[in-house]
Amino acid sequence: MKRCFFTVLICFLLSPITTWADSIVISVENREFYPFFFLEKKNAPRGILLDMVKDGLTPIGIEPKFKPLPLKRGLRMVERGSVDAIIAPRIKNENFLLPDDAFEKDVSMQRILQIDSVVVTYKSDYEFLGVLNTLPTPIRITLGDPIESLFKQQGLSIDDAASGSHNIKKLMRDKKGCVITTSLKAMTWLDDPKIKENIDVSTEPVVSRSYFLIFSKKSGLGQDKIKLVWDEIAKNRDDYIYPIKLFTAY
Amino acid sequence: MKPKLWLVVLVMCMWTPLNAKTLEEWAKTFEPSALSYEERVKELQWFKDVSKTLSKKLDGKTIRSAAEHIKTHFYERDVLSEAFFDITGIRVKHNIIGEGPVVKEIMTQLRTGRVIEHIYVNDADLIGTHLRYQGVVNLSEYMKGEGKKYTNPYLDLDDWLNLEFGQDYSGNQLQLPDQQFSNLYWFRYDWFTDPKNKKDFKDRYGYELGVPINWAAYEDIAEFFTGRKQTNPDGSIVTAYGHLDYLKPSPSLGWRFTDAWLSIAGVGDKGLPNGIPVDEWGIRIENKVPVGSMVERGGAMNSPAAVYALSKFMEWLKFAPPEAKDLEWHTAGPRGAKGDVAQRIFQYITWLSTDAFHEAGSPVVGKDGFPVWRVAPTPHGRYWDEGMKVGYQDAGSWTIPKSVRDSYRAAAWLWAQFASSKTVSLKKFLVGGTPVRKSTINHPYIDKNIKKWAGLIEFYRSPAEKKWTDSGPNVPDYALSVTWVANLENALKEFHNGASIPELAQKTMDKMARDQDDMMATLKLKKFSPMLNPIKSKDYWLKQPGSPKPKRAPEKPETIAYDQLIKQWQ
Repeated sequence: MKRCFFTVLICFLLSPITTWADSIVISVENREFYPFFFLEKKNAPRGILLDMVKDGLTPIGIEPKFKPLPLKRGLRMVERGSVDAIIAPRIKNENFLLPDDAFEKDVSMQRILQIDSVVVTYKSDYEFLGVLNTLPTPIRITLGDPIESLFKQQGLSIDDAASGSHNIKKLMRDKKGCVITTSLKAMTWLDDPKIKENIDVSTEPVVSRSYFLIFSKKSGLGQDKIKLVWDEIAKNRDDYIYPIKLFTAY
Repeated sequence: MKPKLWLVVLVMCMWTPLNAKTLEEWAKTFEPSALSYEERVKELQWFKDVSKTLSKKLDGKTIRSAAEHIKTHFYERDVLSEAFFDITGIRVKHNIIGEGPVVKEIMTQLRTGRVIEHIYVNDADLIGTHLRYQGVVNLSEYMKGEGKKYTNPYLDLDDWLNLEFGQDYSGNQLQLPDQQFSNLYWFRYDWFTDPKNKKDFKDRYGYELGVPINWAAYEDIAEFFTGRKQTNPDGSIVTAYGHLDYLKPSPSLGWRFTDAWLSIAGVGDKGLPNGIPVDEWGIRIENKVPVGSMVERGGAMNSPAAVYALSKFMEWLKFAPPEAKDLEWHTAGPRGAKGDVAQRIFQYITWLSTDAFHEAGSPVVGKDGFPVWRVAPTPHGRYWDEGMKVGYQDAGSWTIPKSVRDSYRAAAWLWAQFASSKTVSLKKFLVGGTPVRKSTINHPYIDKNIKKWAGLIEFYRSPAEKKWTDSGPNVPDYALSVTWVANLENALKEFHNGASIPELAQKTMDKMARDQDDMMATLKLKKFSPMLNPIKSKDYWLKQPGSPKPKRAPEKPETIAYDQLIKQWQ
């Protein structure tokens, strides 16, 4: 009887039913990119992109484990297959799996979200209309933001800080230069009575990027399942109710 | 000529688009107009002068606007944006997309701050959303402050038909109407005045065939015409349908109800433009704060009146053409022009400008070249009381998200004013049939051609027009409408499977009310955010005065002769 019980138990543990508890490791940048990703107390990663990825994986029975890392390191780990996936803008690499339209369109259908970075300046007549070398310097970005290379190419002076909050404080103190941040973060400053009267936010974004769940070709998750995940994320994103609940949480 | 001068001439020729018109040429194009030629030139000159620095600053950048796919907006895209560019040098890309995508885009922009479009023609039904999200430009403030320089001195806001549709509780203009569309009763005047039809109807029902005042009469007329042989002016003989509707699963199935169907049934309270404390979508409001949709919270979404509204929608499908199940609002819109429908209780006038309703040889156009159909007031349901709104109308309205700033905001505002200016409005109405200005509907040109609109102009000139209103400020977030679509789709599936109507309607409205309240409870809005009432017994609320109202006995059918009715409007 005992032997029979153990046989059943072993069969159960080895059976496909355990797939409901499958988990994958996803790298996410360890910098502040509020509200899309950021670190809470004890370095716990949180954010809209993480919620959307989690909600895309749950119906397929996969649990994500997010690993906050600097972008470059995260990408290397995806390349090696040390993590299954990474949340990032499109990056060409033969070891990466991205949706088919990732390099064909500026706004991919299978993105997680499209995120704009805008220019926040101290109240003045200046208006950013798409010409980078007109940006007031120093250009304040959050530490580790890959957007840095865009300004470096133009030879513009950059100042980085741990968070957007540090940057806006500096802008308010120095009354010069600009802050590059997400349109959502800029909206929160425009709601802040201490800040809103003193800043301008550009209509024109500095960059607009599709963020993806990029998989490693070495991930154990099959291509069919990966496509299902991308489809599920896109379905949620284009839903009417889902975004309300999502954005209300931040 | 020196070689350098040749070069300058060559560059100038390349720079100017070959088909560009001068300001004077455009002024001539917009004929007829509420303004004289000289006045038009003056107004267009203002647009030209004010845009000089702005267009230089924008340096060829394009203003993106979005609007739904109706004739009015195609005209804006194909003619007005071209005129605007020739006159101001500012290029506009007027994206024509469905109304569903328009709402989705603007809501995404409001939630994320990401600039998808610079300006939207967004239905004023969203005014409750905008005043609570605080995400769009307050045009009243803008016109007085930062945007004063860019505000047309010839704008004449008093000339607008229903400016209040785009205003918040304090009268601030958050949206500027661009095209207005009412939802009216549509019927075949020729069939209704046919002596044999009149006699047969009276013999069968005991009262005169005429424009139905209430749903009981509408139902009798629907039954009377369904299956009856009728003749059209083009000589075709058809088996008529007494009703027309649409029920294809789509966002527009939701609008079929959210566009005041419950109010028309009499679900709400008295009060104009919307009932207080209960009206649109069965929502109860206390001090501008939504407190519930369920009867158990003082709302009326699952009240006897709401159940009656859904029941009649389903019961009347037997009088409609079978393809109703495959129709959406835009495919059902022109359907009446096929010549086999006797009446329609819920006709958006937007579609009455389509050629099918007017062209020679159409089954619904007489030998004299004028329509044999008419529009009349919307019949009301059993729970309707004097003092309540009578029907639905809304205005696609220019709306600028706050994320659009500075030069883009100024250029978008100029485009909005240009596309609804006195210079162009009458011409735009003649194309799209959706008026926005009093000077349009009162113009002598319209007087001369009034028969063409078959009652619509009389409607807009009458004080009764004020009783047709939009969803108003009490709906806290237009996204609540998704709960309607999902539940109606399920209800219709059960209906097609033979479910009993009153029970199905009660079950559906109960679930819809609960879902809407659940969703309202999650909303955290900047102003007047919902705070739901505690649950009490249905009985408690049904015994209170006003809405939610207890069950009523069937009403006596009433009709009125169209010619008598039109005199009341005049």
